[in-house]
Amino acid sequence: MRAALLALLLASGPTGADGALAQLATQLSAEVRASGAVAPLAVTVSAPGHPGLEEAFSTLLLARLAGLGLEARLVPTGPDAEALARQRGSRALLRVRLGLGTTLAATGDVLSTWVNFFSPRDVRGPGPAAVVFAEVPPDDAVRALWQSPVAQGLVLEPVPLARWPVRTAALATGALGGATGVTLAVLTEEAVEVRAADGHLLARRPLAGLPVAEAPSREAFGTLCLCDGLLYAFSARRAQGEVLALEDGALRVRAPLDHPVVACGSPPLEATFRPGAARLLPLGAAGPDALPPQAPFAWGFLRRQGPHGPAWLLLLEDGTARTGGTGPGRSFPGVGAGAALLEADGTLHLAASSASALPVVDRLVLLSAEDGTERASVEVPGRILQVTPAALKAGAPEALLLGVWGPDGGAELRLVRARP
Amino acid sequence: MKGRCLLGAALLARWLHPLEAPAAERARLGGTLVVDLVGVAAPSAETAGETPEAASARALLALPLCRLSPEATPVLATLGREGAAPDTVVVTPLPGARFPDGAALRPGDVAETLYRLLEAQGPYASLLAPLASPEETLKEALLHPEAPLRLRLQHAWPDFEASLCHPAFTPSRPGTGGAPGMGVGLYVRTPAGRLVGGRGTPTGPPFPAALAFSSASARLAERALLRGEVQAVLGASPGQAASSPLLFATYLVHRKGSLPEGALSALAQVDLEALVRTFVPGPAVAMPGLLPPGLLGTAPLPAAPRAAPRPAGAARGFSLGYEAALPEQRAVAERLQVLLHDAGFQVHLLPETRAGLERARLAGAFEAQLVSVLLPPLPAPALAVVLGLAGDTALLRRELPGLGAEGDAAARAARVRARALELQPVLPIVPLYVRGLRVQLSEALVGARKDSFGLLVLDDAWLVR
Repeated sequence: MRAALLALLLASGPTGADGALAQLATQLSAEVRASGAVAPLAVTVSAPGHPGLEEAFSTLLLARLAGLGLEARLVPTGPDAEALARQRGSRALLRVRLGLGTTLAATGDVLSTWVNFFSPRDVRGPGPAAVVFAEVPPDDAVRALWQSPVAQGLVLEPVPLARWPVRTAALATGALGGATGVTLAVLTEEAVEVRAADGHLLARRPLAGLPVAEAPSREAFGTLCLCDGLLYAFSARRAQGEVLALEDGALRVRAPLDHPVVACGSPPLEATFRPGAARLLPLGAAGPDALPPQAPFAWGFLRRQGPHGPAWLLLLEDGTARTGGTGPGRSFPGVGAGAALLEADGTLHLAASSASALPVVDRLVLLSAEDGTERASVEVPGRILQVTPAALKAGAPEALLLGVWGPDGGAELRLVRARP
Repeated sequence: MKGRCLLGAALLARWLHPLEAPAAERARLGGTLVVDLVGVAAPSAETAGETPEAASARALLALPLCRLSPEATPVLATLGREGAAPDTVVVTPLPGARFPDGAALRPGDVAETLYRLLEAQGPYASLLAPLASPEETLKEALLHPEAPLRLRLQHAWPDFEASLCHPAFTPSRPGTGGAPGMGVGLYVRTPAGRLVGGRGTPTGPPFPAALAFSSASARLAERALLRGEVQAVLGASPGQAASSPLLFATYLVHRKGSLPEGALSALAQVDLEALVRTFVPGPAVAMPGLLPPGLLGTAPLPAAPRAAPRPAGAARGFSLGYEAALPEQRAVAERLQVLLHDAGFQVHLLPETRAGLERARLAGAFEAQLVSVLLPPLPAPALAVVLGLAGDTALLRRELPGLGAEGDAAARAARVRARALELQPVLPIVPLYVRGLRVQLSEALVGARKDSFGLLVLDDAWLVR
C-alpha cells in the first residue's frame, strides 16, 4: 500500500496539481538553495515513527534538489550523519525533520561540512549553519502516509478527539445508561463531560455549583468511574462529588458523593484525596486481588478485570507503578503521570507515559505486565496526563485514550490504537 | 586537579541520589523555592512592586486581583459587565481566597485598595480615570464590604477589566498604622518568619513547601543557580534576549516651561540606542515614541527637531531627579548629564526616593525627573498611564472617551497610536527606553512562565530534585 501511495505521489509530479508533500519538497529545496548550500549535498530526513512519510518525502526532496542543480544523496539519520557526509565528499549536510500538526512542517538546517585544508585536524567542528523551514496544509495522502502501518505496535490518531483551554483531570470509558455504544467521560478543571466514541459532546455538567474543597489541589485532579451505567465523578477542587446519569441528553445527579470512587464493584472502591495535593489514598480492605497492603498516597489507582482475574495498578509518588492482583506483582520504575492496564493478545500490558518533567514530545510505552519487556511505543506531542483503555469496538483490540496537556496550557483528548 | 575534584563531586552527588528518576511526571510536592533578589528590595508590607522584578517577587506573597490570559482576558477574579448596564463593571474577587490572618478577601478589600491608590494620585491612578465619581462609589462600597463591587464608568472603556490586573491593584489588607499589609499569597509568613505554602488560595497551595528569598550579587547568584542552591534570580540579566513583553518604561518628565531653551532639542538629539546598549542592562530597547515599540508598532515617528545652535554665553542648567534605588536610572541620568554638558547645559542630579520624586511631581516642585512605570500590555490603558504621568488631568479627561469609543480592539489600538504620535510633541514628557523582566531560572524549576505584563509567574512551578 505504501508503494502504491508513493507511486501516486510521484506520478502527480511537478506537472499537474502538486500534492502537499510535493509542494513541501519544492518549498524546502528553494529554501536550501537560498541558504547558499553547495553541491554535492548530503541529506537526512527524519519523521520518527512514520517511515512511510520519511521515505516518500526523501524521494521527492532529492528529485527537487537535483532539479535545482543541487546534487544530493541520502545518508542515514543519526549523530554520525555529519561524519558520513564528510566521508562521502559532500560539501554540506541538510538535516530535515517532519512534523504534522495543523500544518505539515519541515524544519531543518544546512551545515557546511567543508574542511579547510590548512586548519589543524582537531578543529573539525560543525561549520556555519543555516536554518530552513517550510510548511504546507496537509492533504489526504500525507495523512495516509502518516498513519501507514509501521514497525511499532501503537499508532497515534493524527486528529485529537476534543480540545479544551484547560487541563483534563481524569478520564474514563465504558457504557453509560442513556447512550449507545462506548462513551468517553472527561473531567476537566471546570466540568464533567460525556462524549461519544468519535469525540462529539453528548452532555456537559459544570462543577461550579459544587462547594469548593477546604484544601483544593493546584493541579487539575480527580476521579471518574463508569459503573453500572452511572458516572461517579469527583474533582479534587470540590468538597463533594456526584453520581451522574445521562437522561434526555443531559447529565443529572442521582446522588451526592462523599468520597471519590476509584474502582467499580459492590460496594465501589472509595478513596480520599490528600488535602491540597493531587494524590489519593484508596480506602478499603486489602486483599490479594483488591488492594495492595498498606497502600500509600498515590497519583492513581486502577482496577480492572484481566484475562486471569482481577488486576490492579498503583501509581506511586516516586514514579513507580506497582501491579498486582491475580498473578505475580511487579514494580515498574520511571513511569509518568498517566498509566493504564491494557489487554492485548490475551495478556495484560502496562501502557505508561514517560518520566520526564515537561516533555515537548511525550512517549507512551507498552510494557508486558508479566516480564516488563517493552513491546511498543509511540511519540505523542505534549505531556500525557491520563491514560485509560477504551474498548471502542466489540472484537477489535483495545485502544488507549489519552489526556494530553499542551504547551499552551490547554488539553487534548487523543486516541492511540494498537496495530491493526 | 580541579577537574578531578569536580568529577569527585559529581560522583558523590550521584551516590547521594542513587538511581533517582531524572525528573518527575506529575508535579512534585515539597522542597524550598529559593528566589535570589539582585538589586531588588525584599517584598515587604511597605513596598508595592514597582519594577517587574519587585512585582514578580511580591506576587508570591500577594496575588494580583487578576491575571491576564494571553488573550488579555482576566482570570483569578471574576470581572464582568452587568447585563443590563454595560457601563458597570462588577468585581468578584476569587471566591474562597483568604488573607494570611484567615479573613476572607471581600469586595470591600478591593474597593479599599483602589481607594488608597486613587488617594495617593500615583501614576497608576489614571487607570481609574474612566470611573464615574470614583471617590463616592468606593466610599459607598467600603460601607458594604460584602456586597459585590459595582464600578460605573463615565464613558465606554473596554480595557477597564484588564487594567485592574495591573500589579498596582493587588488587594492587600491594611496593617497597623495605615501601611498596606500583605495580600492573598501563595506563601505566608509563619510567626517564626518562615515563608510556607499558604492555604488561602482556592486554586490550591503551591507545589514547593516553602519559599526563601536571598540576596547576593549577580555573579554569586549565578553561581548559586548553577549549583542548584537557588532556583530563580530576579534582577540578573538573562544571557540571551528574552521574548517577554517589554513594558517597564522610563521617561524624562519635566514641568512645562522649567527647562532652559534648547534643552528639549538637545535631549531629542540623544542617541537612545547607544544609551540603552551601554547603560541599561537586560532585555531593553530604546523607546522613541510615547509608548513601547510593542504597543506603538513601527509607525514612522516625527523627525527629531534639528539641533539648536550651542547657546552662547553663560551655561544654563536645570535639575534632574532620579530614583536612587534603580541603578540603571542613575547610570542614564549621569550619561544624560554628560551629553547635555557637551550641548552646553549644566544638569544637577538629585538622587531621591520614589516617594520623594512623586511628592515633588505632584507639588510641581521639580524641573525634570526620570520616572519608570510598568505599563499595562494594552495600548489604551498604557496611554492613560503616560497621560497621567504628564500630570494634565484635563487632557486625560478629554482624551480617554474618544479612545474608549472604539469598540474593536484593533481599531482602538490604531487610534491610540495616532493620538500618541500627535500628543508626543505637546506633552512635557521625553520617552527614553523600555525594559523587561530580568530573570534567570534554574533548570530544576519546572512550570515557571511569564504573564502578559512580562512578570514571572511561579504559581504552578515545582522543583525537580
